[in-house]
Amino acid sequence: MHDMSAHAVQHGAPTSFLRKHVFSLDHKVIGKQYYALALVAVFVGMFLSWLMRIHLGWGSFAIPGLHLLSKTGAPGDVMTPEYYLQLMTMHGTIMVFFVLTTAPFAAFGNFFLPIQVGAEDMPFPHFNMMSFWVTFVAFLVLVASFLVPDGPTLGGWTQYAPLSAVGSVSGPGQGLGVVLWASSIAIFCIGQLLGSLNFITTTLDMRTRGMSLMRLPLSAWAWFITSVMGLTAFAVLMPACILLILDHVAGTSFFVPSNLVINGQILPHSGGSTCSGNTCSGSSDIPRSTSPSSPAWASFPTC
Amino acid sequence: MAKIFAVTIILIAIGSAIPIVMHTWDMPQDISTHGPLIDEQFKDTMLEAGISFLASQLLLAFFIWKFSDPKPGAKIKSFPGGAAGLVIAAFVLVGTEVLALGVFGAKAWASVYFAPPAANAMPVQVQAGQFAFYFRYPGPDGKFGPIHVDQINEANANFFGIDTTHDQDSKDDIVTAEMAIPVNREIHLLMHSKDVGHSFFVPELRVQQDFVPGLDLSIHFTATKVGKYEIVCTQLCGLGHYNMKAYLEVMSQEDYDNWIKQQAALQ
Repeated sequence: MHDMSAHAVQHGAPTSFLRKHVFSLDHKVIGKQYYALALVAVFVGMFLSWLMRIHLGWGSFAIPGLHLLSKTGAPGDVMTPEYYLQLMTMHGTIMVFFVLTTAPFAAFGNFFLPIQVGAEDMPFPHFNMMSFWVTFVAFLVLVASFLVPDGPTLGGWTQYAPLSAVGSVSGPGQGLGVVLWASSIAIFCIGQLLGSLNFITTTLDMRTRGMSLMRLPLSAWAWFITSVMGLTAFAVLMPACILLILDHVAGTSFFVPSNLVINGQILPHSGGSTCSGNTCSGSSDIPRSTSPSSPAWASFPTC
Repeated sequence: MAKIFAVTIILIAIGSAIPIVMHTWDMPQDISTHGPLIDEQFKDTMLEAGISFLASQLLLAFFIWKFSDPKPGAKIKSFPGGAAGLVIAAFVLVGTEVLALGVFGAKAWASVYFAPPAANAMPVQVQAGQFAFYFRYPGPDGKFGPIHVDQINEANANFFGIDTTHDQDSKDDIVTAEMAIPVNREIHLLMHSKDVGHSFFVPELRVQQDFVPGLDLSIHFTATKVGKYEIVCTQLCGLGHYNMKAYLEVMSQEDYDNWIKQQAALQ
């Protein structure tokens, strides 16, 4: 339990437009920025799910203008089965990372956590600002994979190795698409690690006088536990993404075992392990899938 | 408004329980000896989760109804001494339930996956690759020849990289695109992936096992009903994943003997 008066105000009032609305240090503005990002992401994800549903219902239906998204994935505006997988992967990634993690955790957490614990702001406002902008860049990098020649990756949002690690030989989007996907997630992890650091410190060190841990609202507890889980999960996922990128661009074999034969060719990789890749991915799957929902559960009693 | 919400919760809770209780979407028939264990575990999980779900939703609806119309000036009631006792009781209750499900589930799983196959189990090798399954039977010598990855050639139908010139054990191996097994005979399935991750899923057999590239795994099972069943890949393996399947034909011993003779003649 700490007395807030002992903490100096971390930042003064914003003096410029940029500081007030764009690169703001205020936790409420950053919370709103996260919420806006999650809203944009959910509309993109929803649009992709419409396209997927149309393909499932009417496989040969020409969706006007779809060829603009991908000439090879939608020749004559008709979606190919592999392009469906690419859209599904992007839909899953956008929804899990940029909506389900971003909205209940980063957006609402940033806005409400300091208020609920009686803190003036997060203890590291510059980290907080960086965490949002880094997440924004991660989103742009992910969406950019729509623009590369083969389109985005088709390996599913879990990106199990070795499908994700062997390159374009395993299908369209498995080359540059995976590199962009892994870059996006690695950047996203940096944002989440910075955010988690702020959330944990706010909960443990910035509580106002009389706000003991047992008096914390349930939602504050949920954001705190989610941050601890995020700190462990994203700290594993980020290096896993970096190793995956190295498998693509540096010829390493972290996630590719010996003697794989694809399209009649023996891959030049050797000595890697699919299990290490999938354990890295899996170790973060569980917190990733539970972390978004825990603040959501907790938000009910506070509504 | 709150009372409408409470009634809606009750309707949704009971409505979602009806198809489960009425077995509207039941699992496919079980054709394996280990299936009853798995099914029992599914039923226990569904029963415990279902009771918890219904109880919590009905309780939620009850409280919403009861406190939806507070009298003005009514005192807010609180638990004497705090709600710590209730919270601890809920933790213990739910914790015990989850732990019990985990312990019994692990026991059922271990009895299927950790028990070694019988000594006389019939070995069949399955190779998964983008986007097909191939099966290999060891022939009269009961031994498989080694896989030579450099000799895998789909154009020549050498799916397993078999070298019959140098490997004595490979000479009588039988490779098929369809899996046939005799009924009531234990099968020891040796699983190998040549490229990426796949899965071997036969819902009726209650078997679902991933192929892990670089790691040869094995499972064993006994089919108890003659029939033709679908084997599907359930691990996203690339652009043709949606179409990756094969068939498992469970035959009488006599039919199987004839089938394997025909397949041997085709090699």
